[in-house]
Amino acid sequence: MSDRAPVSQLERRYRAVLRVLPAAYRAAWEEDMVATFLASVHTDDPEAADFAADYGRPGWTEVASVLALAVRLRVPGLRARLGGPGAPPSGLLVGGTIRLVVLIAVLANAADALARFVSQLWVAGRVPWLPGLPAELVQAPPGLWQQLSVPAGVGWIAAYVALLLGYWRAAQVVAALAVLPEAARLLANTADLLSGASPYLLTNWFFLLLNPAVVLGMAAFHRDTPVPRRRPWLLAFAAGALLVWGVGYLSVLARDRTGLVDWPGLTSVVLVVAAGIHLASRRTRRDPRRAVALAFLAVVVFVARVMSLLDYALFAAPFQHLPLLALGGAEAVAVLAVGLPLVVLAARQVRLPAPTPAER
Amino acid sequence: MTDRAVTEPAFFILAALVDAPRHGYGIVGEVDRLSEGRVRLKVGTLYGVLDRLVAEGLVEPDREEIAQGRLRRYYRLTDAGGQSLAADARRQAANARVAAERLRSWRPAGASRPAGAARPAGAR
Repeated sequence: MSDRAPVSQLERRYRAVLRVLPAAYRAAWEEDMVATFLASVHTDDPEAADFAADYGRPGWTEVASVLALAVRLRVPGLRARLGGPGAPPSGLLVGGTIRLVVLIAVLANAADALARFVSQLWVAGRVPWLPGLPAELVQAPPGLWQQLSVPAGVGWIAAYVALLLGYWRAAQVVAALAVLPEAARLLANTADLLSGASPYLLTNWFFLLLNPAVVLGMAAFHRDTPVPRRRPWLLAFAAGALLVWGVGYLSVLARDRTGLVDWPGLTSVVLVVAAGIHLASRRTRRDPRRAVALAFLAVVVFVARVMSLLDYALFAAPFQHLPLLALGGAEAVAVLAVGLPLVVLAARQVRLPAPTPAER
Repeated sequence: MTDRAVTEPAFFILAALVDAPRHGYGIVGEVDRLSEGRVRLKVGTLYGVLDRLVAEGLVEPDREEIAQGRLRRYYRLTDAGGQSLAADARRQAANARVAAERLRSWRPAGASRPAGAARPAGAR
């Protein structure tokens, strides 16, 4: 090694750029690339060569070419990790689980949106076959931010339908657009908080950060992903919308001013029921993706429930504190009670053989 | 493999290796010369293409040398690489022929006017 060329600052900087390349690629090509790069910047003028060695940097076009190479090399690897073509068994499990979580999350947003539309029609008196809104609950016309929830809701419903039809990228674009009105609404809520109003800020922020993650998770749907079975997912959509709308409708008729029915509570109950069925059923327990997806969703629902309890403790009116914290606390405990066995089951099942390619 | 069109950098890299094995910087210089300065390969681009050409069996490592304390790896064209380059050269030549034949019957908009109409007044 004594005949090895001294390492200049320029070489160090170029090697630092090469670190964006996958380690296996660098092991095969790095020395060659460094030699070619240094030869390409070589000059016969000793003074200029010394200056370049100490103060030179790879030009931006050189850096760009290495970055482009890194993207080209890493994209197939990322696809494989998400269950794409040539994926290892662990990639199939991760990809299948992410797709299941994303589909459930989009289903929840779409069902919520449909229920809101029906509620708005009802409030506007457009559903004559239902008893009207009690007079004391009639509120001011919807403000700008409530109106913005309409395009956002349409976006989630469209994204869900696109996923069921196999239009993955269209679903991703529409869902990304649906996140924007929510972001605008949240920023307005934050301004309200600063002005002394009492919005439920932490929960909103949590969901705002969650939804872009759902959009990113749609990258796990690739050209080899089979289209989901439409019938059960459409039934789940209808049942979900009916549940959200029905519970809201009943709480209004019951003149619930405390706000006992909230989104984290509803998702907690649905998760506890789904987890109970999963843990009790021998057939569904065989699929590790369901266990991992449910365990992941249990964590998300638990965090959302805790965030909302913090919101209630900080912002709710004093008469709401006891009922909201008691019911919400009980829901959090129930989620924890099914979440822990789910996490243990999921950890056990990921060690078992992964699903066959036909199950992707 | 031989039927598929190769990218311009890949075409020139294969062409640069026809007469002799070359190391990375040698390929950069030869591609620059062959393309009359139109294709200036960056190192990331060169090794992105070289990696693919080696994986496809069109190029293979020839030998390694140590020059001024640095590894210098030479690459040579394989038989499959030569065939691929020849096929692409034929394809490009056929494309050029088609375009040249079409251009023979093409007149620019200004050239379709009657003789003399475009002549400057002062040229009478």
